[in-house]
Amino acid sequence: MDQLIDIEIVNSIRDVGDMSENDGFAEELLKLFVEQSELAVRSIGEATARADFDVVKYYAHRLKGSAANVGARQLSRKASELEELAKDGALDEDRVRVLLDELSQVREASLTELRRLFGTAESAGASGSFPPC
Amino acid sequence: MKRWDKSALSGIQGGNSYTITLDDDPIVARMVQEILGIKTFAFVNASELKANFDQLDPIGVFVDIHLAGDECGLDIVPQIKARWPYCPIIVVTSDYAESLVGQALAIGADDFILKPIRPGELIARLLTRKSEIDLRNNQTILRFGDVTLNLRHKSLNGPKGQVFQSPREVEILAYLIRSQGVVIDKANLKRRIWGNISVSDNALDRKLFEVRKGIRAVSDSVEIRAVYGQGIVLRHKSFKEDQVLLDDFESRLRASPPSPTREQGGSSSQWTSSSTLKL
Repeated sequence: MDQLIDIEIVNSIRDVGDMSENDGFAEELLKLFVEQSELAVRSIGEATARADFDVVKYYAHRLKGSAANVGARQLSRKASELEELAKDGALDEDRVRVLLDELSQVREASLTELRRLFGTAESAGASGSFPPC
Repeated sequence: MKRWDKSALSGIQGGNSYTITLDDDPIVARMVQEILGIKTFAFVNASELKANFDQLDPIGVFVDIHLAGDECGLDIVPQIKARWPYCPIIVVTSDYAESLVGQALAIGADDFILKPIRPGELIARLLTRKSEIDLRNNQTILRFGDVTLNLRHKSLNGPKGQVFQSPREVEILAYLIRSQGVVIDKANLKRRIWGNISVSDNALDRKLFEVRKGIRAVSDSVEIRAVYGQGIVLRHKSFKEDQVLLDDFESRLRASPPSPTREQGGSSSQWTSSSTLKL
């Protein structure tokens, strides 16, 4: 199993924040990630419901990159799996749904850990919850 | 212990320096801006960036390969290179697909970085590519194929002889040489050479005629080629020149073979690096 968080990336973000004139950089980045990852997971869920796997592939790819950039390594890998599945010609909708559930869980766990590591005061509710797909 | 030194960026910080990101993920723009400590203008699609070409003059462009709506960031790389030939273009991607990265470099990108973005790598790649481009632009002797342009003496040399050109003609040819085979549209060329002075297409064509005439006078292998609907490009007429170099290399190799030495413990002789071959 992959590590949930890539601590090296988290440390480099902290370093960027320390060198920056902007005191709240890490917090701002995490907030942006909460929004972007929420958008991605919600869009993937909606696209799965209407079997639009191009959209699934697009948001999975985007989530793969943004999760990697904030150090959410396991989430990035899950998004990559989903992207590969959506790229596949023979689409398995049930498998996509299972992966999407896993993705949501890993996202929640990642956000909790990132908040702890960045020491941000963001409330747990800010991560948003997703309607069942 | 931080793994990079931000002080290296002092040369590009301050003033009106800024970079551009073309990425549908806003996190990338935010990170690039904070890491470099200079303003970043974020664009999420190629058409939005193209619509703002005229207002912008960045010191670095970071382009994602996969954009929204099946748009590919690589499609705009040649246009970015043509617009800002002195600006490093760095492809940012989360997929190391060799073919895509290779394609990006072939069409005008200067380098690439993989996500996750690592601050030290981002800074190093931008500064390295920028200094390479600056070095190229500060040279007074520029070469393209068998043609040599001397910016100080305003002279153009080649196998057929030497000619002298006017300052504007030299500027045009220097710009084309520095653009490294990228097609330059005429509006962009006019802006680069004459700045805000309004210049007619006829005036530019007259200057290009003189530049072409100069090239023809000194070389048979270099030409300015018009690319219909896109602009002009300085190019090699054929691969003949490469063939001449290869033939020359081969003939020198045959004329002065390096001394063979026997590898210790080995049974076969092989060429050593202490070859007497000089090219």
